[in-house]
Amino acid sequence: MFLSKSLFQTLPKVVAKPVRFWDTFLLLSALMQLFAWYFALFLIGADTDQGDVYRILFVHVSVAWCAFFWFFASAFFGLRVFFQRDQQKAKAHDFSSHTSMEMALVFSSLVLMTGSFWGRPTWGVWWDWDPRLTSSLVLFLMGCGYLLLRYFTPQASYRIKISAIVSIISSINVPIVYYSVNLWRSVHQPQTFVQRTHNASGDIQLVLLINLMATFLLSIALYKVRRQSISLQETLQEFRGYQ
Amino acid sequence: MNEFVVHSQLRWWVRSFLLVFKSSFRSFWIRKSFWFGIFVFSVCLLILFPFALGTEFIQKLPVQLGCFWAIMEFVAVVSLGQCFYFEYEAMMLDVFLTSPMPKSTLFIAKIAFLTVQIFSLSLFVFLFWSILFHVQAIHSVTNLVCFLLLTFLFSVSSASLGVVVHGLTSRSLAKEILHPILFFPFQTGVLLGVSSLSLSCLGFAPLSAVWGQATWWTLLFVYPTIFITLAFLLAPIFFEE
Repeated sequence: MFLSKSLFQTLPKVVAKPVRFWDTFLLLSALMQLFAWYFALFLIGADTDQGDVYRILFVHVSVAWCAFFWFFASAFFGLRVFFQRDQQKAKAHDFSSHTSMEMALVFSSLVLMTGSFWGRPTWGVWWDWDPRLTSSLVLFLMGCGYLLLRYFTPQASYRIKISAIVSIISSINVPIVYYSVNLWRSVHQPQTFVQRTHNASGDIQLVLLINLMATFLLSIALYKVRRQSISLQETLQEFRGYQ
Repeated sequence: MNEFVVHSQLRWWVRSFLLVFKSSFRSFWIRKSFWFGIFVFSVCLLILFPFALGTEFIQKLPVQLGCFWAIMEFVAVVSLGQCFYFEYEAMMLDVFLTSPMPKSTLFIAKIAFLTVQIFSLSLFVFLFWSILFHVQAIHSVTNLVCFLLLTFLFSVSSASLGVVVHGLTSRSLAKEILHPILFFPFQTGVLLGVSSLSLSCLGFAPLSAVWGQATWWTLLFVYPTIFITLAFLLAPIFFEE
């Protein structure tokens, strides 16, 4: 990820410049995330009902929003694959869709894990068959299905199209996950940033927004770094004649 | 002139559809043992559930219905796993693909055939289920009609989704694993809809008490419509060389 100085000098400027930029961006966003976690852990007071346990929600809500975003981003690039007539550009959109889905999967797994860590002391169980939890798990499984389908489909032109189809269909589940707490009887709390619910006080909302922003920037940096590596990997495989 | 072209194209599409549908039935009729095999498998599951859960516990309506829909899910997956198997074996698929017939007819006819197959199996599973599980609530005609309608909608939804997933995984190296991996998550909505509606049909108050019954019915009608449309639109991509 972080290339050594001597290796950088061997790279052409057009390659080295964006790599260096996004590496720096990743470092800065990671620092910002650390600051955001510092606010969440030490600056804001404990919750009257839940105590310190609630602090995990600053991570949980942020990664959940990022997961939703990357699922939609994957579907967006998937749509662009279909509307793009130029094969090279379609391939580039496919790489973006693939990377977005990987990001979505990473953040979905984090959502399930942090939710579980919060659920154990609060609900007394690691897992409950609640509509929000179940629909999130289904979303995660759809992402797994996407990556497995890509991995097991050797024909590149066909893989690009079917991956786009699966990413578009998977994104339909995102609104279902979001509205599941309203549609079904759920033990999960309703949406945080909804005016009528008043789920969080002003200071909590502010720290949550800072965390959300930091996680989002970090996810973009991770996306760009991963996107570069996928692009390089696919180009290398093409040169080797694997596709 | 245009009207004539559209009319003849439509007639051509319907003829192709009937040809694929008929050939599916014929190749299936030659291997009736396959249908019977799935049926025996579902009866084995019907016997297995009371053993696993205990005969006392299966007297409860939600458990009875849960067992029925779980068995139906297996029936659907096993049926869909062999989606184009007979056509591959008899080399009929090559004939269809090299002929000038519209590619969408292959998928739509397959959905129609699989719907009939899953629904016919579900009727027998339903009969044995109501006897073996002592289902009392099903005895009224209204309940029976409602339940059969749900079974039919389940069959259409499973068939349409299954055929699309089959198209997606057809050129993959591990389609036997990928098919259920992609099928089950997408099928969740249908399974949730039929189980909730069958519970409320038989006088139990499930989740649909919060989310109205009308929404579940809409979902069950919308689901196959989406996937049949997808099958129609995506068939040229799935069958391209």
